[in-house]
Amino acid sequence: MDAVVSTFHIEWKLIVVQLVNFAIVFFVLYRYALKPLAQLMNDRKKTISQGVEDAATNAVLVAQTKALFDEEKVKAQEQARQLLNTMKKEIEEKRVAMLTESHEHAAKILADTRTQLEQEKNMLIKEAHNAIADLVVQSTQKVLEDLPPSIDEALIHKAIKELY
Amino acid sequence: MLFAEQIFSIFGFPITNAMLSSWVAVLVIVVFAWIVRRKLAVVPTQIQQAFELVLEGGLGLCDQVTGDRSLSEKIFPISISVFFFILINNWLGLLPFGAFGVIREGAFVPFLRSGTADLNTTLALGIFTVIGANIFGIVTIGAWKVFNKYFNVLALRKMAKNARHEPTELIVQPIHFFVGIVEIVGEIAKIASLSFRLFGNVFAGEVLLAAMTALAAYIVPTPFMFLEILVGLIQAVIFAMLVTVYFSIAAHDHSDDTAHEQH
Repeated sequence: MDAVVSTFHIEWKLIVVQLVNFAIVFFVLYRYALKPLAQLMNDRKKTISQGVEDAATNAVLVAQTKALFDEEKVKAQEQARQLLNTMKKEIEEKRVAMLTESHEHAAKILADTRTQLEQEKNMLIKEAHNAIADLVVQSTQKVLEDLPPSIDEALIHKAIKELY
Repeated sequence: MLFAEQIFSIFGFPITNAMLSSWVAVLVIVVFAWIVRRKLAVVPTQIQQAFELVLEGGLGLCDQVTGDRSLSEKIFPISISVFFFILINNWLGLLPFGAFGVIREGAFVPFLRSGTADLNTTLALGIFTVIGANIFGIVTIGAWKVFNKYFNVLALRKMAKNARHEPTELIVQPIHFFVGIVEIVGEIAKIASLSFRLFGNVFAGEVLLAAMTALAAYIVPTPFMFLEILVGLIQAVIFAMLVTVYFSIAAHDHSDDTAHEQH
């Protein structure tokens, strides 16, 4: 043992100093590098796993929302189709009603116009009769200036009546 | 020289070149730790990434030995500290600073010599490992169980209790007790094996480089330098792994295994 100690110059003081050196290394590495870094890595790992978890939850939520959206879309499309059909029906009914009404109105206007025309025609005929009568009277008067006017007029009226 | 040379002394305390190297190694590690601490960020810088890579790899190796992440997390700071301390010490010996020194009694004494090329350093690490492992065992599984590992009182008690029914206990339990005593020798052997292995490898490397440089100063020693870089790394890994193994064994309750075997 003594031979080993003297050959290798083993000295307890040097061993203690080297132990202290190692203790410093351990303390510094643990306190300033390993502990904070391990903490940071754990935090990062937690953040990442939380992120992955959130992403999975969000994916489920997105899928659910999409399914809900599709369902609502189908419902909305159905409602829109029903509404469109109803509207079309209503519009058709209204169109038919309006058409009927306008036909009736037009017929009424036509009838009124006809009546008015008839009346005007009759009135014109009457006026024409009078005018013709006057004309005939005057013409006849010219031709038969010698006859008294009262006879002439009676004759004229008689002639006109015979004409018609 | 088999031993580190004294450069000077302070109040009769010898300051050797290996000790100076160790202090430089400590300084390097302190600066490194300071830089890592300063640059610490959630989005890692290159140096932090490299350190994280080493940590993850080391912790993975630790897990393979312990088989338990929580135990690995307790042992790993010690193993990694041992690893860095030995690695920096090993590699410092390869730097050309060894050319600076003083001539004393006609012999050249370099200012720096690899810390691990001095048996005092490796012995200190070996003693720390063995004593540290036992303290770790006491903290983890309890003082009584650690005590029984070396002085197996439980075995003697079992022998006294079961001898009448099981006469074979008279043979088996004293063997268990004797195995405990052998464990003490084993612990001393661990110190010797750890310290001499590391010292031998690093010192042999230095001798090899010196011999090669003496034979052909240029180019020829270069491959050996690379070899020594590798040897320095491997020795640091081996020592750190053995520290992990010893601490892991110390944290394991062997009396449970014996009880299981007997059942």
